[in-house]
Amino acid sequence: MGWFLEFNMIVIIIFTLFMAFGALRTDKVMKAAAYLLLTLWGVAFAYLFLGSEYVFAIQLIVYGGGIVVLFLFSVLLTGQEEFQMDKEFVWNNLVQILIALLLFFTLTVLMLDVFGGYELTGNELVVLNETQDLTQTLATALFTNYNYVLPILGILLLSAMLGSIKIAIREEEL
Amino acid sequence: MVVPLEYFLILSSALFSIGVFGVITQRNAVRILIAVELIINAANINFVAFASYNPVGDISGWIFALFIIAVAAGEAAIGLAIFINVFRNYGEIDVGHLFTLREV
Repeated sequence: MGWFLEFNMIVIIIFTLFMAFGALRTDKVMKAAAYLLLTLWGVAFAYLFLGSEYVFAIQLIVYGGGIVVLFLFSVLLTGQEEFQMDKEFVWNNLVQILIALLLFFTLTVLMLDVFGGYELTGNELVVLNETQDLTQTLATALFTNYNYVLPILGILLLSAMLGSIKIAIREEEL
Repeated sequence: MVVPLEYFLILSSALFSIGVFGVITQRNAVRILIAVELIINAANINFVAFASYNPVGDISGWIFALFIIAVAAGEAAIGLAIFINVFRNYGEIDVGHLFTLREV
């Protein structure tokens, strides 16, 4: 069972990274939005592997639904079909690829060095503990120790909504 | 052990690097916003992974992840509203040609 989960996780990692790269390299705007959607689904399934069904559901609803639809709306409203891509290879691109690869190796080596040998007992506790309802634990934490989070989120999202309406609306429409 | 923590760390660092690569290479504002979303997701994976592998079962990282998802939604809404406004004024959203948010 363990090796099967591990194999599935490797498939999801490869899928997510390919889709993320595709979102940045495709020349069609709609395809980029679709690749972004698939990347976000891959990340959501990674949350499922971490035993967090609630964050998985929120990721699918907010990211997989809301944000991608927002991107599609902006693509349709700005009327673009294709990105302006540099067709010929320039040395600048090589430098940028090298910077990204260097960042990846530095981050990976650093994090694996610091956390790789960590005594990982928690995942069994979270994933395999069937007696404890984790969503209930999360809800209890959200309404006791972190009870200020939801009101702050409400104010933040309301101000973001009003701000984006004010920015996007035309002066003569007011 | 179900799935080692290392897998999630590699996924998040690779996603972060792809996002940074997108931010420094792309000129289209929508695509830069897509790259920023990738960076935010990489941070989120780390939050959820460290909370899940926590030896004492503290799930604060999950709550941080929910908070980050909501903030990212607000950021995307504001960013796309700005780009729509920029498109109205300039007729394009290439960040290489943008110098002001005022109407020209």
